[in-house]
Amino acid sequence: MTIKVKFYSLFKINLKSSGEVYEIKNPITISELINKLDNDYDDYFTNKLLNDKGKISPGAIILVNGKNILHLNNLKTELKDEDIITLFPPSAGG
Amino acid sequence: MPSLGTKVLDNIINSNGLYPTNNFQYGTFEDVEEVSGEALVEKGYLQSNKGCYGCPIRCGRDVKLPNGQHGEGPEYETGWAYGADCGVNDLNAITEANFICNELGLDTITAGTTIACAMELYEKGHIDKDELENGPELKFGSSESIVYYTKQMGYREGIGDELAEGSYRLAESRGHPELSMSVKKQELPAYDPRGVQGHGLNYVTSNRGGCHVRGYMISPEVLGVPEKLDPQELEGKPEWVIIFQDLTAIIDSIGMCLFTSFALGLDDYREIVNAGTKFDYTSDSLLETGERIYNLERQFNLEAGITPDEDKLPERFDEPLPDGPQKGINSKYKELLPKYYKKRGWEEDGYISDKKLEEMGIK
Repeated sequence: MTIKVKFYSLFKINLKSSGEVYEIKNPITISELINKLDNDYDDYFTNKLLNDKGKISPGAIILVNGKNILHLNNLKTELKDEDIITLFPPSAGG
Repeated sequence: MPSLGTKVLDNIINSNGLYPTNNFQYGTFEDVEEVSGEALVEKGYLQSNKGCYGCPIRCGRDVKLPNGQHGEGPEYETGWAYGADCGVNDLNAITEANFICNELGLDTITAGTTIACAMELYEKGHIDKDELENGPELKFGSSESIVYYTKQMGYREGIGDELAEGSYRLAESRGHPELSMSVKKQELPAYDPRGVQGHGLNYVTSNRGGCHVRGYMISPEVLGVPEKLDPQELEGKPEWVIIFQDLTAIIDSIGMCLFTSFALGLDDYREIVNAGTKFDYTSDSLLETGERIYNLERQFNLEAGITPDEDKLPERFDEPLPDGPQKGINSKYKELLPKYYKKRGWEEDGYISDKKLEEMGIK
């Protein structure tokens, strides 16, 4: 199965990358995806998306097909073929 | 905020499916990455951030275009109003239109969304080509139009004289007021209410008409500050909207920037007010002051003739979003409004009783 990860905001600017496409054999959870991204980006994503208790950092936004995982199954949300995961650091605006 | 300014929101709001496109006909914009905050950096237009006097955040954009034009902005709302709302993917043109508004003193949300309304009127045949007097066609996606008609508006030339009256009067004069995306004749800003139910309620009940600023429910419903609410959940939303509206009234009265509220809370504002004034507020009495301000504003509106039947959204929002992750969802504000009135202590018809006004020290 194919999953697509999109980086925006400071992730995109600092990593100079707009994301990754992963081919994987079995479904993985968001937790496992973060670990996978850490392998490619030097532990960057655990630091930016999770707090020291391993929960989602306040304000960090993780979407699966446009839905925030906090309203799905949180870090245990399972990913399936063709899912698009979008990542944002905490943001403000008006 | 320092690095991308408010334009950090383009991709966030679009990815969440509430980025109004083509005069609020759609919830996502295909070309968002051409016009986003990231694009402003990547295209080299951004020179640096800048700030209001003394501000440590400095979210402003110091921008220079390839043709040498130099100025401030665009902000998120401006970039959206002239961008996705008009179907335009040309960041250069958007920035030029923004600079014209700065020079001429035009509100960018109103200017951009009025042009978007005109584009839909033109598309549906309610504005004729000969009315444009050789100006570019008012079509969604036209980067020439957003620059040209902003100037026309500013100088009240040609059809600009009508555009200058705002989208409601424009649409109404053509027999189609329902094509003006406005509340109490003020144009709606950059968040489709169908994608965020609490924020939609704020649009309906803001004393300023279609305004996001004075009850910015995007903060909890999308950004997760101070905590993440489900944007489609209805339970508890009236209470949240009320707190945001009352707290914002306080921050506005103190004269501080609203963006401080992403870091500060009611207790912090209480300490600041008391330190600066020698008043003796508690957090509760400070929030009550916000409530009193809100009630006073509404009472002024009611007495001036803005009746409770203006507490409504355009009919478009009774229809579902046609695209994106929130496809199929319509605005539920009609369910929330009676609960809001009740929580506010107002009458069922939306008026404020004399008893309530006396209680508030207004009458």
